[in-house]
Amino acid sequence: MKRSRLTIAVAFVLIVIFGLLLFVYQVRKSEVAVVTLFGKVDHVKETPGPGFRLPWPIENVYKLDQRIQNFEGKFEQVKLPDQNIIMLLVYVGWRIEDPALFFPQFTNGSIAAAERNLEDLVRSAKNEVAGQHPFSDFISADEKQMKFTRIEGEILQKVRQQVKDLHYGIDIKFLQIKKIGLPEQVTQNVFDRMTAERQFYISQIQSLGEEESTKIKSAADSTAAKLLSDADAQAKIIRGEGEAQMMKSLEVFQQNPELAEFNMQITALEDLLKEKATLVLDQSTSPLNLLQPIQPQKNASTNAPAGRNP
Amino acid sequence: MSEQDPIQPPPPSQAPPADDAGSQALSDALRSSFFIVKIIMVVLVLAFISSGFFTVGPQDKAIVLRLGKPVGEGEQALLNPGPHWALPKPIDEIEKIPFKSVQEAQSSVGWMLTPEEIRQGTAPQDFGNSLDPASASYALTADTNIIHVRAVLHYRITDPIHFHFDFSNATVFVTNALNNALLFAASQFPVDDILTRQRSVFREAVTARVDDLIEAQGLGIKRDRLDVDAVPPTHLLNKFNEVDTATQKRNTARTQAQTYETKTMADARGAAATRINNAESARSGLVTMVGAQAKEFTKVRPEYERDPEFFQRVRQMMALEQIYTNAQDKILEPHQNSRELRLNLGREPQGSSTNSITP
Repeated sequence: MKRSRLTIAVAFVLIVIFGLLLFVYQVRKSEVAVVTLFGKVDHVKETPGPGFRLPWPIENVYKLDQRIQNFEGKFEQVKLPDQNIIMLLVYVGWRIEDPALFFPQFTNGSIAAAERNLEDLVRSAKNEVAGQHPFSDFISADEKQMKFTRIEGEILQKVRQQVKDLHYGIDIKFLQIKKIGLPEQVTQNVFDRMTAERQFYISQIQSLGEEESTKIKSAADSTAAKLLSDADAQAKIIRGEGEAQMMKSLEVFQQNPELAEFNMQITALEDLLKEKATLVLDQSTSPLNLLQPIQPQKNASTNAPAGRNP
Repeated sequence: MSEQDPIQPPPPSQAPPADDAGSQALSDALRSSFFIVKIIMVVLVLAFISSGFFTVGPQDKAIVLRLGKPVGEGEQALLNPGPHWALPKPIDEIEKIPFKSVQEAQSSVGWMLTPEEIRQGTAPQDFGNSLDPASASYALTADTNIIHVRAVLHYRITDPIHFHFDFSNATVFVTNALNNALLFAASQFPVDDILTRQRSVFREAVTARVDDLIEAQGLGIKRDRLDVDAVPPTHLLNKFNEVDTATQKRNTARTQAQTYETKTMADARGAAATRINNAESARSGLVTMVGAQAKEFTKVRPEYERDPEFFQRVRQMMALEQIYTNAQDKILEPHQNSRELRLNLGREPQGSSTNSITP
């Protein structure tokens, strides 16, 4: 009896497990389940958790990844209306929006199959939109002219509209440019131009540097010269003022011009021989004449050195 | 019954003992087998239960999916680092989410090396005078030049459930947002602004674009730091360096000119001040001297007018005395008719500044 209870319990457990495997399926978060009834989509379970199903072959459960997928097209050439050619690569964030629509469109809801179709749509939209914008819309320092984000938005709208029209059951969440380039031959031309530009900048910087340096120096010289000439002018005025004051003092000398002249001569002589003077003297020069023997007094008045200047 | 029917043959005693032994043996074997099965079942049950233990690493967080549905809502669903237990598979499923404090994403376009080559320490190569779009990556600037740019984004995952369950590979989206931001910003700046003049403005433009894309795409992350680097194409590196050198020389020449300007102006200001001061001194000296002479004149005039000849003689002798005293050298020359007598009464004459006079 004991054994049979155990057997029954084990059998019950096995039956429960088997039953669960047959009738229950689970949907993980980030997944969505498409349940088909005899191969035709019957219903969709979008919320995570367990779900009931009829056993195969009546019902089949297909689980689809409902997360946002990253799709990148190809880095391809696009011809612009201004005859420029650029290379453009965009990436797309998309997710399954309507599994019931998505599942029958692509083999068993294959993400890869969906992206193969998406590639054509994105390429078409990219070429169509980029083909309406000149090169300056892609790169420009002028904010008004720059239409980088606008171009992205236009491609996005076009792809969105197309997947909607085609009933893919896809939601294009966002689309951005990932890479912009130029054909190899064009890059060579760009390099040549850049080399020429650098050479021009070098020459320009050198000549501007010399010009700037010369300007600064000549301006300094000019300002200094003006400063000095202003100072000379001011000095002349000051000296003139001094001479004017002196002339007032000179008026007193008119009282006796002879004395004034004598005083000036004496002062000039004193100033002239003030220092480091070498005097070559004659014996008759006063007071060296006193070195001569004293002569008789009869002619004393005539031998005196009075009135002779040294 | 057996007692009432003595002729009834006795139950076969030979065969039953053999069956009993066999049954007994079978029973024993089954019993022991059941025992082993029981032990195995217990072990299996224990193994089943213990398989639910798991640990969450210090760099991770975890979410328990019970029959596919997260246990808990929002932040409550996140299990922190440490030991945990969940129901064994297939009932519960553990999803571990990398949750380092700071994540890092590197741009994958625009640079001459791929992130993998950078990690391996590969040296940048010169692609020559052209760039093959299949192998070389770069950005175009607003002045239609080619430049290499790259960025490293350090970010924190602020919404791990969203980051992990809403994107097939969220890190790819972060990298692509970075790529787009680099191209977007580069296409708005001239090459020299990106490389030198407005590096920080360029970095801010990349940062702003990254922030916009993170928010618009709902990546569930927050930027921590963004580093941006930009270099000229390897093939033109020397030319760009020559421009830098020329700029340095220009700056040096400007500095030297400014130094010259400062010195010249200082010298000129000094010289001007000296000239004005000299003029002031001259004026002052002239006025003082003439004033003194006038005073002296006024004072001596009565004496002079009393006896001009005597006055002149006395004044002359006084001046001579002063001159003889001050003279550095005095040479006495005798009369022509006598033997030459030359007396050097002072020191040797020195230099051209010596005044000489022969009376």
